[in-house]
Amino acid sequence: MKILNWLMTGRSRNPFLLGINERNRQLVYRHNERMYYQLADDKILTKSILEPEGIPCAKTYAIVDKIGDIEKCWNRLQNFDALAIKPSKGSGGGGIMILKKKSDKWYKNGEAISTSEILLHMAKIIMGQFSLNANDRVLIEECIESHDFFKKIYSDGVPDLRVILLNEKILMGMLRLPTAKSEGKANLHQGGLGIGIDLQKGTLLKAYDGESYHTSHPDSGGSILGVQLPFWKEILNLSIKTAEQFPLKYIGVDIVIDQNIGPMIMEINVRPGLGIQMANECGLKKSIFA
Amino acid sequence: MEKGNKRFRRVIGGIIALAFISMAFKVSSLKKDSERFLTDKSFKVNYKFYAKAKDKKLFVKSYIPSDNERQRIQMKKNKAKGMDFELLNEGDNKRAIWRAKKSNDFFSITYSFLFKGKAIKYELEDEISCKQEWPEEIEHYLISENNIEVKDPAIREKAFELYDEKKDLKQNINALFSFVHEMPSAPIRDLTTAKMALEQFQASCNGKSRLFVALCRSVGIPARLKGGLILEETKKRTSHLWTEVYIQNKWVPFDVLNGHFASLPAHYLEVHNGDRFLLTHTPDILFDYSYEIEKSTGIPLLNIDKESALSQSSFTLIPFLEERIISKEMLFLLILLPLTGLIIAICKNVIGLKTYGVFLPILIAHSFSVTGYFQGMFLLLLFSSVVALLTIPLSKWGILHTPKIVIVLSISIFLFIALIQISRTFGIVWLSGISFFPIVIMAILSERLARSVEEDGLSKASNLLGQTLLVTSLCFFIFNSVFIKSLLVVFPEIILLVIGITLMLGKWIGVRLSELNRFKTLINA
Repeated sequence: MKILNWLMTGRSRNPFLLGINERNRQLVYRHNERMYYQLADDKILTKSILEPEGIPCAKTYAIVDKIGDIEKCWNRLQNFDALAIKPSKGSGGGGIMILKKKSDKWYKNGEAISTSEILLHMAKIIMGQFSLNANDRVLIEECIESHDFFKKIYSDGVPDLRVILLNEKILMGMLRLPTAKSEGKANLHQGGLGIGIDLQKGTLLKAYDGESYHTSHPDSGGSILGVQLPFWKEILNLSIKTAEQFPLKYIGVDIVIDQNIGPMIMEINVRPGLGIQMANECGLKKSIFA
Repeated sequence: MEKGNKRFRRVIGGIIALAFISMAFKVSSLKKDSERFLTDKSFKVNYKFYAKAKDKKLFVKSYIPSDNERQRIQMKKNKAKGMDFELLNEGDNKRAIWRAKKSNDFFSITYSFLFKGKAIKYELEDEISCKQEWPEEIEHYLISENNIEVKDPAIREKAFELYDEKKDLKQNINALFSFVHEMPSAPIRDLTTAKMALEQFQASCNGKSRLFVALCRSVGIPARLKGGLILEETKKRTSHLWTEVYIQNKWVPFDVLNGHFASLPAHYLEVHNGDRFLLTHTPDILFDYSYEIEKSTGIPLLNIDKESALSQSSFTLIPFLEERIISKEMLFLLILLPLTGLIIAICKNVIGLKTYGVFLPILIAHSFSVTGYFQGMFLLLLFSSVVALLTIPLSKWGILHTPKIVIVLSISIFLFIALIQISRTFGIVWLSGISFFPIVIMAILSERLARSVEEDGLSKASNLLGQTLLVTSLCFFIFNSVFIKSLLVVFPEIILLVIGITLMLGKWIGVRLSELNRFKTLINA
């Protein structure tokens, strides 16, 4: 009987839980036209929309679209001492390489890396290894310096905020924190922590690690529950202003907080994941119909 | 939105209704053609004859059954190496004749068929006059025969002793029937004539039946012998005789040995009409025989009867198969694609399984149906492990994706050739099936797998492979089901149903089974 009821109505006992089928059909397909997906999927295009509006995002150092240009371009970048190399159409943080320079040598995650390895990585990006086989471009931009606020909780990696909006209205927010397991990455499915956010106050809720909930960081013990996020008002305004620039009406906006610049837009997502519901211990439909 | 939904529902309703109407039409025409005949019992019968003759060309003759109102004979098959086969019509009977092509040889004959029979029972009316009228050809069933001595004084005397003119036909037949039925039975294998049976006052089926026919005929009631087999799940050598009496323009069965009055059970196979020997052969040869009988479950949908009835209708794909417009395998693959596609859609959208590619499980399952399930699975798992194990060092060396795939595939091909060589050298039969495995499918899978190992890690990649193989197994089950194939050949409209269901699935926005687990704490909160 229970099974029949589930098959007929498709509902679980929590009426607000949003499943992937419903997300795709009722939100993604209905509010996002496929022809505009590329505006979100391609980071270079995303930035080309945001920058003229004065919305802060990471400064672009270089864009490489031909394998033959890689070396020339790399040589021009030698006066920077921190860089982020990204596939412009990458997803889920795949293919991102963060490089830091100490005494004329490049380091990745604290380990020395040779120039040829870096050049090969850029070649892989152009050949589409991180972007579903489509040819891609290398986006080299400034390296975000995580805000001191986060260092109090956990010192490694770059935490980011995910805000989901429907028709320029904020539905839900989540702070993503790296853990020892996630190796500096903040994505939930890579072992990072998802922390729900009280949208009214900008305070942190419990942290979800994919299995259980914590009130403090499991690696560092830094306290989480009830902590006030800095720049909360600006973050809300920035996400709404970002959403207004795109013809895509159901999006996830990823925001980082830089030590010097404050909140910046990293990327936007047309199919934001559903794990945010676990982080907030609340179904997305609750805020859609509220 | 509302308007769109209404139109959507109408389209789905239309598609499903069309499919059902077409199927109902077909089923009803089917019923008219052959399904009036509802069977009670179904048996596979094998006549098995073994013969050897010296210096002469031997023959074997046997009556074979035909359809009648209470039995259907289907899927007749004759297997007799080195013998000519001939079918003769002898009046109401059909006789098969096997003739050896050369002398001094051993011959084995198997003639098999599927029997479907139903029980029959007549309610004889009271007060039917003993003075019946009948067409001229019935007269023939009143006269004396070699072993049915109608004019014998002892038989006539006994007949009229039992017969009472004042009583009705049913009572009189009952009197004759009871007399013969109650007479002691004896397992006499030799031919017993009616006269001998009466004199000895004991007989087996053949004596009793002849006596009953003789008694009926003596008092002017047309009667005849019927011969055949009582079908049971066994190997037997004895045939059976029973009788039919002409009552009100119908031949009504009576088995005097087993006491079936105006009735016959479903498992009686009628082979011949009249006093005949079911089986005869060249005299003085080595000869052995048996009737092997098995209960048959039968596939109700695809018996010859229905097939022939259906092939008249243009809606089925049977003519495609018969006329070989398209190869059987190709046709099955084509008609099964939509159904397996739907299965995959359900696995993905309702259950929440993830697979490598949408149609890859179908392709793998189809290749399994060529190699065999376990061989295919073995090969696939072996290749997958090789791909996974090679991908890890190759990515560590920083080899670019496309060259890496080529290397992985090349080494896989080496392994493939090695396996074929192993199966050839050591004569491992089950392994040889892998040579049919389409390497193209292997190539597609290894590319996906290699990418997944690299991006998601080994454990996630093998998890995904496991789910892919689970869905593959489901598809294989469908590819391998004769029932589903037959169903689709007879009712290609099912593809319309599949489209209808898939359209509904496309609108199903329910929470997936996997999500019920993923969001367990949220649901139970």
